[in-house]
Amino acid sequence: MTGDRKMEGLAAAVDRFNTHYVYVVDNDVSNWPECFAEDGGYHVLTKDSASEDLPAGFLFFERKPQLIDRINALLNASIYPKANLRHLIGACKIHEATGDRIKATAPFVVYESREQEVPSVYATGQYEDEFIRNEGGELLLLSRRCVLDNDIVRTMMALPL
Amino acid sequence: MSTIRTLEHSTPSSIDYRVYDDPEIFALEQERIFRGPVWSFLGLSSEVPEENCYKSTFVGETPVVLVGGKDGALHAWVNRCVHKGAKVCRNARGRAEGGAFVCVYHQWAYDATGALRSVPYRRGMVGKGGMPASFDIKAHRMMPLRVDKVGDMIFATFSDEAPDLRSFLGPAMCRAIERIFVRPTKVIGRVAQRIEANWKLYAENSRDSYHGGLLHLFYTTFGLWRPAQDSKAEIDEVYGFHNSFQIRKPQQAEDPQKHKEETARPLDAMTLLDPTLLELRQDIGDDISLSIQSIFPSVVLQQIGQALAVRHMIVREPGAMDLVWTYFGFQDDEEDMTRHRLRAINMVGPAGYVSVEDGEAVEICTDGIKGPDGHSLILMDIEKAENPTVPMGLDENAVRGFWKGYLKLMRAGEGQ
Repeated sequence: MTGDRKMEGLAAAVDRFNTHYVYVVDNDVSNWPECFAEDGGYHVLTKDSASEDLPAGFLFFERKPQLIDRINALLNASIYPKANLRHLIGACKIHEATGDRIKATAPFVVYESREQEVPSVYATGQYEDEFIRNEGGELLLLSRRCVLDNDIVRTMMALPL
Repeated sequence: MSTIRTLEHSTPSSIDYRVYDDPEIFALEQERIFRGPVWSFLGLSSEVPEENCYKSTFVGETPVVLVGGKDGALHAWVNRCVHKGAKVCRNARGRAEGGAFVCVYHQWAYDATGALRSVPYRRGMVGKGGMPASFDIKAHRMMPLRVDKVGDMIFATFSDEAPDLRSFLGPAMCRAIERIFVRPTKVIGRVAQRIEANWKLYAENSRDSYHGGLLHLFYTTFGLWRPAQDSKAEIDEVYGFHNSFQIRKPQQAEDPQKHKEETARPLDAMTLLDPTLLELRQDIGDDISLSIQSIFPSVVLQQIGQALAVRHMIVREPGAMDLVWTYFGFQDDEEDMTRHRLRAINMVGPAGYVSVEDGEAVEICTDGIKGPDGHSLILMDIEKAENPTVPMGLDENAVRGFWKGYLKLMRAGEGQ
């Protein structure tokens, strides 16, 4: 029973983290890299490629400085349709917890609302995550692999999933 | 305006906007281009590595299946059951056991070449039912296409009139393709983007070096733009509708200070915290760091640093296309090289730093051309029309080349 209780506690912590992540990406995207550890990775690929063990997808970042570069580029250089994204993340499942590391998955949906258009579903999929705790005991992403159900996206991929 | 008049109103430097959105033009393209004397890209050799491996794709809007045959032979056929027209192969990729392709609707079965091999209850049961005695199974097959390849790129054509593939591509384009495929390759991933634009807008985009430093602001924003790069442009010798751009690596070791002085670096340029994605590694064995090759009608072969890809335009309807990116590496890549390719791929594709804008650029053209009749102005360097013009970015010769070939094919048979 203590084991179950521990898992429930971890799941609650990961769900809390995901609630925070959603808030950041949809309201304060310039702080998105702060959800990651210094050597935190972010990888976006299709389920099709993942199931064939093909590593290449939309994006592959290995460290937080690359995520900061990404946000700087998106906010200062890149041109893409003006849209509001709305992320919804479902309850997580904990797969492994050893020491200060947690492996978890969670389903997600991203809706896109472009100016003067009815909203549409931009992506659905599953986050495959690995978390660590910082010195204050808060969870940070060591790795977030976004595995998309859809093998095609509308127009382009700019803002983070 | 009639379809024919729309085409007559167009010249390679001035395209009537209806050429992009008229459904009659779209239907005529299917006949005269995609089913005409033109070779269309189907896939890479590594996508059908063994006998009975297949890939479903499209030539224009026609669904076509590419199958690996015996002893390295390649087959392609229209994915349409001769019974009722159902799509026989329902998977994007796979391996057909025993080379059999069976329509799920009534289990009519075909071999890897697309020939009909069996029909259930053909002779009926206990003397009842079945096909007429005159039915000759050997007289039926799914429609075959001619298939050939250059490098690892496999193409097909519906037309008996099309020249052989190498003549269609011309020597310069064959050279540029074979430059990439120096060793056996392997697919390392796929992504795709739906672009709500006519396919020809993207075909122009990939041939247009003029927009490079103007639309894609990544390099200038991070102070990485070098205006007078050592570039080379080629257009195919026969039709002029294929082309390639290449940029060489800097010849000397980079002096960071000198590099800074030579760039058009804006004073407020930002700095890239982690530029490892831009590192150039020894790979193909020459000093070309970028090569973008557009092959008429619907494929682009690219090397941007270590990001190797084919971009395949799947034509859906007048105002929609899918751009499918297939990333590849060499079979002998070490793990570290594969990792570096993944980094370099951040520059390209639907999310890439120097390509994320292209979908939006061609969609705003689609939005903008609605309404009154009008035409484009494709005039950069038309008077001198050096062929090719260097340094790149100052001309639109390859875009005019696309239209020259396109208009010739579309007007064929009109007694122009």
